[in-house]
Amino acid sequence: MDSILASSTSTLESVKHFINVACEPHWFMIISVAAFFIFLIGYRFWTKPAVAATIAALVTLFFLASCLDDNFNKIVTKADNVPIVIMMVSVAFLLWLAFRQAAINDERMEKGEPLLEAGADDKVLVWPDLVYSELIALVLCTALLIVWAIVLRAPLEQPANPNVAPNPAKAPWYFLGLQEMLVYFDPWLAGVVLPGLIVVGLIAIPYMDKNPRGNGYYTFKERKFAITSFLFGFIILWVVLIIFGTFLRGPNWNFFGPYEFWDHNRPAALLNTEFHDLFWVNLLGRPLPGHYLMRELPGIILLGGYFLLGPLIMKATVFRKLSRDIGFMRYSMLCVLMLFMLLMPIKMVLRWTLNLHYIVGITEWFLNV
Amino acid sequence: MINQFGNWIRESQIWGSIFRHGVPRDRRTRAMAILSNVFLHLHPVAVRKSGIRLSFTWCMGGITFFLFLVEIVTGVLLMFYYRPTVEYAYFDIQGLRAHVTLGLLRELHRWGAHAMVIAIWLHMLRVFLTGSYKPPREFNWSVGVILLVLTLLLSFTGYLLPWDQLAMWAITVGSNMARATPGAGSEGPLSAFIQIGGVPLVHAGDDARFGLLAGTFVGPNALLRFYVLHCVFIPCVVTVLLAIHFWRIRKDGGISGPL
Amino acid sequence: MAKKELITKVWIEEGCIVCDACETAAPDVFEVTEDSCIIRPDALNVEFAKPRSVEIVDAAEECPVDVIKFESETVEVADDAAAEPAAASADAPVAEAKKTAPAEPKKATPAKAPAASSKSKAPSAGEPDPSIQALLEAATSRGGHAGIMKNADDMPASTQDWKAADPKSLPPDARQAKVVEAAQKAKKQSELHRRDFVSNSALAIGWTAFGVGTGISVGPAFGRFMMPNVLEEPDPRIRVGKMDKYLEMVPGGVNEDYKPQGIWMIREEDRIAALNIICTHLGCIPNWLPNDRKFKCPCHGSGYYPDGINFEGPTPRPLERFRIAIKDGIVVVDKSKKYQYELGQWDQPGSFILV
Repeated sequence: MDSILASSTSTLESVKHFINVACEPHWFMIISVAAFFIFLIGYRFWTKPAVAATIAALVTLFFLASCLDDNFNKIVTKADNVPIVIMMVSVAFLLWLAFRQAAINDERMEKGEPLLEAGADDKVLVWPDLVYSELIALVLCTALLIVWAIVLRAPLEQPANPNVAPNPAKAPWYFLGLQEMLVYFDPWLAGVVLPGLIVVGLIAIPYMDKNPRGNGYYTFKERKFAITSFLFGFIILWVVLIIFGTFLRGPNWNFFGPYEFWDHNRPAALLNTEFHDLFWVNLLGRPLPGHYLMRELPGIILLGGYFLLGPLIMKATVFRKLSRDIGFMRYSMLCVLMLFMLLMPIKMVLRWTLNLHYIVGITEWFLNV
Repeated sequence: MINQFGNWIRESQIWGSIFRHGVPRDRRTRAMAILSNVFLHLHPVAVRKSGIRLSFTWCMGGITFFLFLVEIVTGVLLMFYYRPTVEYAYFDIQGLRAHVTLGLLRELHRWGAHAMVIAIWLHMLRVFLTGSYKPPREFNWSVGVILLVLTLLLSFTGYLLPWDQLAMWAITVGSNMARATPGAGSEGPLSAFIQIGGVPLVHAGDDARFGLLAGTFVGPNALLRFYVLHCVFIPCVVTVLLAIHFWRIRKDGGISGPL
Repeated sequence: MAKKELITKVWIEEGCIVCDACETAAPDVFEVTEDSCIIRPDALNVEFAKPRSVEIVDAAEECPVDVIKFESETVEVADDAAAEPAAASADAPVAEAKKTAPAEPKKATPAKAPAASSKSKAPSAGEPDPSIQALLEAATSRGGHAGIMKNADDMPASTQDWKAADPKSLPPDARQAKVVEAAQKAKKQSELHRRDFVSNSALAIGWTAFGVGTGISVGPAFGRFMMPNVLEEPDPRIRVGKMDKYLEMVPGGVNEDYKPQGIWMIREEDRIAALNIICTHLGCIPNWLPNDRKFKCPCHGSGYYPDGINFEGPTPRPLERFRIAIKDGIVVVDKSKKYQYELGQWDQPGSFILV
């Protein structure tokens, strides 16, 4: 009996260990990105009610079982983390709902049948139809909010003390995606330029997207590029990073697996590498040039090539039709935004593999990338 | 008996002066009910049947607006007990829990804010996935993006007010990003070149972060500044933009649907 | 066989309150303008209005001031007639057209068919007025719903001719009166065009100048207002005790006694220096980890050696050092003067005390 118990405990431990490892930054991102594309490619299969319900049940089971683990439980039920759990669940459910309807619509369009949303001319009066559903939504929300407020206390920590930073010190949860970016980029880029570009990019979406299809109904087939790139930004580079920053970043901003104890004294030695060292010292075997512009020249050329040649190469290959359809201005705008978006995963990969600190590091001007 | 009483009320001068139309029983009076009410006339008289299906809209825009109203009501009530000074702020918040009946309002305010952030993201997701930003609704999408940013800023400024460790360090980190603004922050790229005769014009005492915090660290001035931004300035801007947002939904053809 | 009420004529009487309700109910029939509501030119054609009978009746019922009036006839429609394409109705006898009209798809350009039919001229009781046809043609040629009041200059010659016609010579019909009125207004507007251009540009320039001027003058003023001149911040000079205790430290040692004041005292081979405890990444306070012999920031994981040089995490540069001096046998740190390594300032006098 004891031996069975012991062996099952050790199996459990090894499963936990496996998940801990799978949650390490690089694996976590690779798995997320793979899952994202697998979902999009097979969206008609994954959104079938039976399949989706099975996945949901498995995830719920996994979640509840994990809650038996102290470390997991502690972090998931922390008052300020509950909204993130709610967000994860609602994003997953609503994505399913949207793609389910998209799958049905796409199938109907192939068969030449009317859309789910067809019948635009059957109008109903706002009083009573809409006003009643609004009333119901309002009452439900109020009730939910009151229950939430009674069950969970709003957190209030120690009084502010400018000399002691809590460990780990985290931004509000909705900015944890940004905080995670701050690990990979300097504040001027991750804190000012990238958020600015996110806002500009979002505003620019309707002016760049010239695809007249998919206006006012759920579809994936007719807007594959637009939906894929938007969701990549929203799901992978925002929601996943929030999850990562909340649940997997522990003391000293070290990574901790979901079943790992948050040990404040765990050593984690990382030595930064600079791109100029890699190029001049490791590759050419020469000392660093004296002047900083000369020193950073290879990085500048690399980045310049990325932003100047990138659009041209894409224009000649993957975006040949798109660039013709939307014109020069729109295409340039699109490229700048896409390249900045992709800079994030690229820098992440470089950090994990090479421990790369800066591609261009002109610390003298605070101009580091 | 009850009917009689009801009729007596409905035929009274007071009732008639408030509600100009009859009981909304037929199409005309139902239309009048919407048209003649300042709150309800945010709506059109009739809407697409498919447009109000819950599976289409998810009701997220409406929920976001509702939560905004919740935040205003609870926020105004909380202001009666809160003083935005370093000496009192923390203890006022603590006192809300300890000495005030229904100090629960703080919980409502905080969780409502979190819920609003989630709801507005989901609203944006829905609008994107249904392609509802496409012509003629481009401008309204832009207004919506600005509203999203303002919602996040509202949450962020409110985060400092309890004046606890969580607040202090989240704002320290956040405001230090302002210091890295290119050309306007003392540690931003290119700022070092803005100088007259070797004297830098952008330094820790006059850069973007200094303007935000009214000081060189997160102190009393910053608390007051964030309080005013949180309670007055940003809500006013949001209200104006919300009016534009709702107006444009009507003017751009209502809830979207296939053409 | 089902009975159906078909609109034969629809018009708007005086007293519209411009409420939008009719346009919401029947958008291709009514257009609410700034000060009134008009029947769209397309809908003046009976064959266009008929399939929209239900909506028009709805709109009339919904109208809060009851100014939408219509005449209608009741016809019997075969149930399967709905499947027939509407295009056939153009040249067909009127009686048959009545049957098929309800099935006319809404996306088809409705005025095209009647316009074509006016050329072939099959005389019948329901033959539309040619002048109205001309107007319809004009409206359709610019995309169906274009209002007749807009861009009168771009209209084809047929419409221009029609506009010139004496309104009195036209039949005294309410719907036509509306069209005449609108067309005359359009004509007048085209005459006013030049004057509009001048006043519009004046207005635009005026408002832009006002806006830009206000922005330029008020913006910086408000910006300056937000920068306080006097700060209640603590004295930057801090006395950190006598020299003796720092002399006892081993090289590479870190003294945390004055961390509450924002200073780490450190000992190097031949000098003593004061490190600023604020992380150069985003201003958190790193912790001294004696076992790892490093400063580690809890916010984003930046790490520094005991002398303040950064070696891990996202921070761009080493910690800063403060000015340090001995005054009356006591070490005094001046936090208002900082020395940065990457600018080569750590060798400047004042940034250290030689031992």
